[in-house]
Amino acid sequence: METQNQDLKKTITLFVKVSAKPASIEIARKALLDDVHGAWTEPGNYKMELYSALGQPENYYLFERWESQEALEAHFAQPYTAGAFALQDGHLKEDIQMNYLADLLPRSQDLKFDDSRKAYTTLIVPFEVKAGYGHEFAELFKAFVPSVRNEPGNVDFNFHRVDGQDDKFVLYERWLSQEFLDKHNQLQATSDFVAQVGPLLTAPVYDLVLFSKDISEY
Amino acid sequence: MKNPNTFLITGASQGLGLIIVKQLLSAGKKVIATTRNADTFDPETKAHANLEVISLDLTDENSVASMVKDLRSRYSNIDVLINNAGFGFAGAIEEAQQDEVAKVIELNVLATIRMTRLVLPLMREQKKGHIINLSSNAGLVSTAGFGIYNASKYAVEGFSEALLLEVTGLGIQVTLIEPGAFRTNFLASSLALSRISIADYDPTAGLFKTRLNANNGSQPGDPVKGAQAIIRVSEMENPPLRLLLGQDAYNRVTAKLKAVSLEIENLKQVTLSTDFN
Repeated sequence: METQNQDLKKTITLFVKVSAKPASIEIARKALLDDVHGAWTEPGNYKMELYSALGQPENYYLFERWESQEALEAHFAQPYTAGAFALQDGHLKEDIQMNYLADLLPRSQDLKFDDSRKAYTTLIVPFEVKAGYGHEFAELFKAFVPSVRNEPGNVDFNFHRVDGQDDKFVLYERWLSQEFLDKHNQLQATSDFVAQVGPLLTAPVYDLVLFSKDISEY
Repeated sequence: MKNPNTFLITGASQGLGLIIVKQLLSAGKKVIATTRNADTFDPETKAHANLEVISLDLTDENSVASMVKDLRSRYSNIDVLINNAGFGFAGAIEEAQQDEVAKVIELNVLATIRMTRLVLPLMREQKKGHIINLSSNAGLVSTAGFGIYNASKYAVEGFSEALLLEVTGLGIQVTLIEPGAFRTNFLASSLALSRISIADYDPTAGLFKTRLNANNGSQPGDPVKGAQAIIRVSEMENPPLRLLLGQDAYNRVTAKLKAVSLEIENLKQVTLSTDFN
């Protein structure tokens, strides 16, 4: 499965994990918020969201999309971005994990500035697939992704492979409200799909789900 | 053990236990299966000539002792004991009430030790036998919300390790089976949830309960393959002390071992500084 057009190949999607030391959780949050709010002022930024995840008070996640590599590099040159990277000097438990993502079933609407700028009900799932099963896993999403996008209340349902990693994927889904997500989870088609992908993963499906909260402060 | 013929298995009416029973019968083995109520045992399986199903309360010392005595009088050997009975409990430590904790420990730990103790004289007399204890990857790695179950399975790990040291040389073998998440009815029918919930634990134990519930039906482990692996272990001449089942179990346990090893080495100087000079 390949991305479908040249414009999308230019678009950069990033999923970033920042793990703060317990004493630096608040320092990290502030630095990352500055980075997010700064990014919103840049012309090449399509979206930048900061998430926390239930049960992981020390971890922050960024989901971001940029017009091009040039736009991302311009972002890296900003003082607020340097402030976020400076967290690596003693405030983090591990290096910042930057995952470049390839959207495997892209939509044209993801090629432009996302003007929604509000906190939706969001789930992010960093999947780790058993070695050798990446292709089979991705194929299963081909029919599922368009079907979910047609469900009421769905805002985004984007399925990505982590660049350079055949067995790592990231699902990014946003819903208008928790009620719509609950309805999606109650569908037989969802249960059937989860049962299908379950054996291909290195852990039970819902152990991988980040029950995310958008803390971007719009 | 080469060609084990007679198996005694507890908690055999459902899940992995029942699948093991079916596979053993297909392989021509003699199986004694215990369950709380033999009347509700799968009738098709129960009709097999090589299967004896016994109603047994594993928490009752006298009942278990009588059953083992009866088996000794009727069977020439019990080659393999599979201590499979057990149940899960989800809830934070503080949410767990003492009676709920006691029930988990009673069945998962005390009943497992009881059956083991009472079968050992027979195995010593035979000068052979294999005790296979169903532990879990939760017997090696803890999870917020699963602490009581963790404690019970760590206990099974602890006594089984010691048992192996005691019976090596007596012809008896011991194996711990440590499955990850298998697609059995464990989450639907063998898992208790704490009666009370405390909101402060929603991001930890509460999240764990949500995940357990959501994972039901999509667990990566195939119980048929799991049962086959357990039976293969029973046929080994030199069986391992431990067998992990499932990639999720492998990943969790190896990550824990690395973390423990790292922490031990990081504190090595402090550790070694506390001995008399």
